[in-house]
Amino acid sequence: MAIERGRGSRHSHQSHAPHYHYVKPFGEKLKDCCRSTIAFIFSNVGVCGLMVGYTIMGAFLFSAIESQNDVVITADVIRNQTIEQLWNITVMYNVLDKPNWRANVSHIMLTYQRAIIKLVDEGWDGGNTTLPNKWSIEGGFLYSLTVITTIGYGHISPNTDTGKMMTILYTVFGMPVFLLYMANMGDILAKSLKWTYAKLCICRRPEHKYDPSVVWRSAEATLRAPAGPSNFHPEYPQELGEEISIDTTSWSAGRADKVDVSSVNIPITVSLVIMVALLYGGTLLFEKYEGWDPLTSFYFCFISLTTIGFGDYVPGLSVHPTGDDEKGMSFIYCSLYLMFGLALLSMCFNLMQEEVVHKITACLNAIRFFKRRETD
Amino acid sequence: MMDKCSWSGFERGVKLVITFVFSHVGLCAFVAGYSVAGAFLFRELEQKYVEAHYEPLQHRTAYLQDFFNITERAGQELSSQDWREIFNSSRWREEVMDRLAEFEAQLVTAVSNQLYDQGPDKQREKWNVIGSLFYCVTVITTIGYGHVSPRTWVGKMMTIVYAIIGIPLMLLCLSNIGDSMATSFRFVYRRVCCVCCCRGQQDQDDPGSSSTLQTPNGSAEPVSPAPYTPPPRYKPSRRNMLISPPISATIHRGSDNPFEPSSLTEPSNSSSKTSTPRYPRPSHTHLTLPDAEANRIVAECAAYTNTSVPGLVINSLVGSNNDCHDYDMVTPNSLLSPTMTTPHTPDMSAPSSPLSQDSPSEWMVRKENGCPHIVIEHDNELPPSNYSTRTGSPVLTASTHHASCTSLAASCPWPRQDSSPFNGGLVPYGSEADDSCVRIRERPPHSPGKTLVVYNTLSGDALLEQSKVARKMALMNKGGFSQFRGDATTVFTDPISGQAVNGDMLGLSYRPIPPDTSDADNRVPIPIVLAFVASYIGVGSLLFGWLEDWSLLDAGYFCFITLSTIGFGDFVPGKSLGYETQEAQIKLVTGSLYLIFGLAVLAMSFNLVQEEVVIKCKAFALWIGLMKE
Repeated sequence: MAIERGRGSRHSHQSHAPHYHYVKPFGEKLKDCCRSTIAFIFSNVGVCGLMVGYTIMGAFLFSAIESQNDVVITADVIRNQTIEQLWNITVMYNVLDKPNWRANVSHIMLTYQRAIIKLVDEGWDGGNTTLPNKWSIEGGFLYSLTVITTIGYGHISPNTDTGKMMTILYTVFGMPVFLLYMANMGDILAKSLKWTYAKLCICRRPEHKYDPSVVWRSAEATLRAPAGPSNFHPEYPQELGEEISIDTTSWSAGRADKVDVSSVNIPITVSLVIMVALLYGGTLLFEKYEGWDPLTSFYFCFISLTTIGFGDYVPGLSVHPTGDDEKGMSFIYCSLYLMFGLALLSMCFNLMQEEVVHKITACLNAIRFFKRRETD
Repeated sequence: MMDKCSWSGFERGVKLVITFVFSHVGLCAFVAGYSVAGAFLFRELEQKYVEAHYEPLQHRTAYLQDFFNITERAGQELSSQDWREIFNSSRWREEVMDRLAEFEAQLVTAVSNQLYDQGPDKQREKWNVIGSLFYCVTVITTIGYGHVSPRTWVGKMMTIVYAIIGIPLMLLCLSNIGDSMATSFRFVYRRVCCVCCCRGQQDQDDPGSSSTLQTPNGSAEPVSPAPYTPPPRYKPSRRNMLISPPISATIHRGSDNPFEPSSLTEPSNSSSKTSTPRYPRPSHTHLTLPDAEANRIVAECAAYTNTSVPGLVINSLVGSNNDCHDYDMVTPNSLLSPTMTTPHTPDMSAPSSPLSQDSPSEWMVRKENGCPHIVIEHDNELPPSNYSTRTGSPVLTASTHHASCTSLAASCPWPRQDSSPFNGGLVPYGSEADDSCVRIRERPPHSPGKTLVVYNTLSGDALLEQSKVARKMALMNKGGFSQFRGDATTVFTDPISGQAVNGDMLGLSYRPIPPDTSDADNRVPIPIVLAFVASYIGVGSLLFGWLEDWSLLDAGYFCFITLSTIGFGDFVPGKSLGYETQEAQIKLVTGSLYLIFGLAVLAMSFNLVQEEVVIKCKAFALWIGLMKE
């Protein structure tokens, strides 16, 4: 609501500003500047820009902080040691002495594997030539996004103290930005959905009596009429039904003239369908670009969109035959999907909440009405 | 008639169930039960099916075979020469190095994708009961460390279903707990502020509150109900209290009120007030009600409690009782007329003990700022001899209220009704109620004070409904029907002694619809809340630093990542010990307790800060000209 007003006054300010420009003292000018900046930031475009800009800033920041990694040298050392040991064994035994050779090499491999696992547990992310650097710009982007959306896959996490401190600071400022983005985008999406729904479903058939939202609305309106129970002829439920239908027609006829977008109620089923479609779309997307099986993709989408974020599956981390470009692209796909999906989800929740509250109120009113008549 | 009875019985049952489910205790118990059930479920699933779905890491054997092949091939190719020379060449090294690097890459991917966990046995050990419980908690709080994650497809599907139900449940529970914690935090903050600011006044009042009660004045108390109107000279002070907007500010324990029980019989002079306080001070409770209908509720409730409040006087200054409904027991105008004794309800007044009739009380209804304020004053009656000092003092209740709704509970202490049988002295006991229902319960009259708590978030219509329900309940509960359960939705504390009020209390609570009329100076400053949260994180980092041998920065980082529900999973309590030892399990339990309580603390601080931030932002927007009015 405040945002709406803010945008409105921004336009008015822009139109009036030139007239008073030369009169204004410095403080006033500063105030005006602040006002226009804040008004822009709180506008829809501004919020989206802020969100994306903040995330990109985080991407550069974290990739700059975390990309120097000295653990790689340790891994290289371990690998070279292993090679030396293998060579020694090969020299020591004859090639044809298969069982002995195998036993020894197997032991060395096991030691090597344990060393590598220990390294990874300590935070080494394989950042050498064989694996793409996880703290690339794309990786940093996905990391920043998972931080401020509180998904937190944990597929990469900061190893340096600076990185940890910066993560905390980044989250403190980033979470409100993201919440603002969610609210704003959810609002826009809800409005456009309501508009579309009104155009598609209500205007096309204004005489439709059994649209649940219409019936509930009119029932509530009737029951809430200021004249109260005395207007009703009691003890005939059928009559109530008649009144509702009469009301409905008049109400929808009135609606057809002027589509009041904010008063359209989207049925819960529509919201549910949108959510399922969002999950299904994500499933198809990740199935195609990551090569996961459908269940895994669905599981990943769900865990991501609920912001649980286990991190057992993260796009762009599977060993691909393709090159680094593809991996960067899958980071981008994932980020876009998350940003859009979370906004859509918040929209669905808003709509559902609205509808549920609406229905419960209507229900309560109906019960109250019947009970009152019963008492009378 | 039959229909009606069954209808009300059914309704009552449904309301009982709903109220219990949505009460704090019910909700918390439900969430806890849900987590434990989930723990056993996932333990079963993962331990049972992990063998079938587990793909053991075969890479090592495959690479071993590769190495052998490389070596053998090289040997076969150049069998004529001395094979040692060939191996000396860098070609063998390069090939083996490539293979090893590949192996290493796969290993790293496997470990960082949590696909490698040392085989099914290790995996099974991770899914013991405590580990599964921790997993369930991280799922429904959406933290999701990912230190263990389901491997089987059954487990994955169950996780999805579990989260769909569990996350809203957890949110509901957390917001509930946060609300009540915010209320108590506000209350404590206000008390602390009071102690700091008005120490002088407190000291003056101290003898009144600390003196032991002396019985001899019992004879001075009027035996018959005596309508009492306080001397007019005290009214300004009361009016001052009424004007003060915040809810808890309107709850006075009477210490700053000069009105004293001794003035019941004679208008006291100021010297007797301060020098010889023999009774606990009267308690005043101010209710803010939206319209005249609400006043009637008060009146009706007063009628129910008439048995033990015989000398009830309703002093009304409200002129706007225009719409009266037919089913009102007493018409509002007559009820709320100034200094009119409310009629006794005959069937309820019979068993009341004589002692309880000694208590005069005054109900005042005033209209200010468009909405009437109801003042209920219960002057302290004489305590009987077996009555200990502190329990006889006026008790006040602080009840839940948050940003947009406030509730009040008025209480008045009554002497112990030892003479009355269990269900003899009918004491409508205020009960927990959800937003649409009221229950009045009778309690064994073993403790002083009475409270009737009426919650409402609905309009006046709903209030009327509630009053009807309340009346029904009162009548139903009359015949010795006793329900006794801890009141979960309200927090009753004696502000003086800090003890929980344990008594039958008469009170009313109401949540006003406009939020900005509440908590004007009851808000807690943002820095204090932030400091509270920061200290919680600090305590957590000390705790985990000590428990896990993490550095202080790491532990603080872990606490922050956990409480913001990001949950990277790079630090998890008990991870270094492999989740299966008893020590690791203790750490897991500590961790889950810390995070659940921490999330409640966060919910509380959001609750506290939210309103403040909105007001500040609005003020800023107004100042800068973004918003008009």
